[in-house]
Amino acid sequence: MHLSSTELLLWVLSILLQFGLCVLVFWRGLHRRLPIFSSYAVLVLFAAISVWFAYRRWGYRSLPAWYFAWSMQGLTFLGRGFAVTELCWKILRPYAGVWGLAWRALVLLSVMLTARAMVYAQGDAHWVVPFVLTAEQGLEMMIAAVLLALLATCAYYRISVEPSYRWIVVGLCFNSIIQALNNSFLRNWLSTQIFFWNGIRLSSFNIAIVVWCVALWKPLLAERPAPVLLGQQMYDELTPQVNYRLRVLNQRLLEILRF
Amino acid sequence: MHAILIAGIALVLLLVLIWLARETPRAPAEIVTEAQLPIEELFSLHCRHFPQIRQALSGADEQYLRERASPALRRRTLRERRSVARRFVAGLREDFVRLERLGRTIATLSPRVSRRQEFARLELGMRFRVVYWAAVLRLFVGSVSIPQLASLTDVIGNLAAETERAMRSLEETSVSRLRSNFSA
Repeated sequence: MHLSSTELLLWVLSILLQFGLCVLVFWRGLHRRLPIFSSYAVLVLFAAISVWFAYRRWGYRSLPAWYFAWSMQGLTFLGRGFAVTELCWKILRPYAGVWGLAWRALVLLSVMLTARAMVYAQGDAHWVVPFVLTAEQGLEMMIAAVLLALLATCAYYRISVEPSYRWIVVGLCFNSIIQALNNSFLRNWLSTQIFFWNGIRLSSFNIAIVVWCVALWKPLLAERPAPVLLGQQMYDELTPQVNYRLRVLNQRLLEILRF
Repeated sequence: MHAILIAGIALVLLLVLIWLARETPRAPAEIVTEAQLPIEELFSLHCRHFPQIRQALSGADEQYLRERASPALRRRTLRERRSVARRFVAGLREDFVRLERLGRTIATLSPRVSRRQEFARLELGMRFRVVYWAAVLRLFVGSVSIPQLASLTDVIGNLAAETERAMRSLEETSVSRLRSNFSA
């Protein structure tokens, strides 16, 4: 092992926090409500421990350890993608109309940003490290954008999100944004600043885990019953009228401005 | 350059996250007040006071002031009239927001929504806010005529009248559901 003492400390802290998170997830029964996110929490712990053993076996800077660590990273990234999908589904699904509108927009957003990430990564395809970092940066931005779009949709339609779900979303989004920032700033100096890059990476993830642990510290609120929806004719009848009047109101306000 | 751009975007996203992360529960008093209103009154509360405001801001009064009052009194009166107009426009904004919120609540509780209508309302809301602030600025620096305000108020008044019938049927069938959503 060639980890510095600070990296070692962060690493141990991260594993302890991940273990604590797994305990809280099962103790609070989150696995029954968010099974994919719960699996992700277990996967992350498993990945951290297995990478730890890989470093012990092959050495921190060895090529096999590097490939193993990034394979695990890819696996946990995939798990995170599924967890994000589950959260979107869980929060918006009870509101059939909004969900019908939002899922298409969210899929379109994620496809566009993934394509963008791949195009940028293609430019760095001659060397594996920049390729992986660019791809990761783009994908982190994609996850952050999807989660922000989810929160914005909830705010716009005044959909009340259960606090534990809200904080899970915030933790995921915070981690993705910091990872993207980290990759942007330090990628050019990675060979000399790998310590900072790794430190920021581990710290932001540890902060996200702390946010999730705090969210799960108190017992989960009882699940709300699904809202009883109105008849479709209400929407079809009222919405065009409301929008028409809002439009006229805008025009009149503009007339005041022109006067 | 690309790194700086990405970093800039990420910082903006971080700020947006902080803004969206805070839950904004409505004050209990507001929820109770709104839940106790008859549903048709959710439309227009402020524009109902327009006759009194029109009287207070009438052109006849202005004419009278021009003929009889001292310049100092006229200036003070004009300042007060402008202040009344500002508060009135702010009240109209409240009416607009309430109506917009009703539209969103109906969409939230509908089994299917129209993409066109939803994007149209989103765009109208954004446009109204821009124009509203421009109008507020205009009221600070200049003056707005009473006929223009009357025209604006009539629009909201008509809206209340035309949708009242539809809202009654909504009230009969689903007001309790709507209110429970407002209170959520």
